[in-house]
Amino acid sequence: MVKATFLLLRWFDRVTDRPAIAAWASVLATISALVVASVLLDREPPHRFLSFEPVAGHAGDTVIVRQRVERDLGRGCTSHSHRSAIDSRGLSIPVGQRNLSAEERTAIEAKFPGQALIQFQIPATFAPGPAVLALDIEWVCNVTQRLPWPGPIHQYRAVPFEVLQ
Amino acid sequence: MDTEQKCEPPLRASISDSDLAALREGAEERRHRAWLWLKINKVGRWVGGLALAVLALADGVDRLIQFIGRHRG
Repeated sequence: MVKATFLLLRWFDRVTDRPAIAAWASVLATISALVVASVLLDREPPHRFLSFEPVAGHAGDTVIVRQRVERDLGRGCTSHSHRSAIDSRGLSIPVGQRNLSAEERTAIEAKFPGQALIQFQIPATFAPGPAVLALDIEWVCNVTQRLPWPGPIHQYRAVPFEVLQ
Repeated sequence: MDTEQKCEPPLRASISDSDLAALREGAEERRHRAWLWLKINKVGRWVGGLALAVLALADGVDRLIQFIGRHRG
């Protein structure tokens, strides 16, 4: 084992001590470091929420939240969003999740430019009063965001709505 | 007379063979440790560079696949 390690190290030295290999490796490492640094610095969500239309419904109703948004489609990002609704007492209930590929986002933008519609059912146990639809979106815009670190870009959004008596 | 004596090793004018052997052994060990550190350092730098290159390549391939997908669809 030790002998094999020494043999490997000797081979490694023979290869890496060649000036041409060392020089090209330095160039490659520098370019790679720049690429990886630019990719790591890409932490801006590709989606901006501009405004929303107020929505109201009774507990158990299905409602649609309409939002004006600005989508950045140039970065080919995919998304995974968790949605939960929180009522006036603080009761939080998951109301679904959604995965969108870059192609699906492009198709949605082509069909409904600048608009995002979210349909969900107000939980039957919700108390009347002001409530919130909380969106937790994970964006993956490059390969490093699939790794445990730095991980996806997180975006939070709270859309208020009213639960009627 | 009651005198207080300190316990210090006596000064010597010559160096024995066993001292020389110990010194040589110490120098050898330091040299070995320095060599090992150099190797670890070098392998670490190359492995780090390689990991960066693999990440950059994976990102490039990812973008290329998306580009092809977008232009095919």
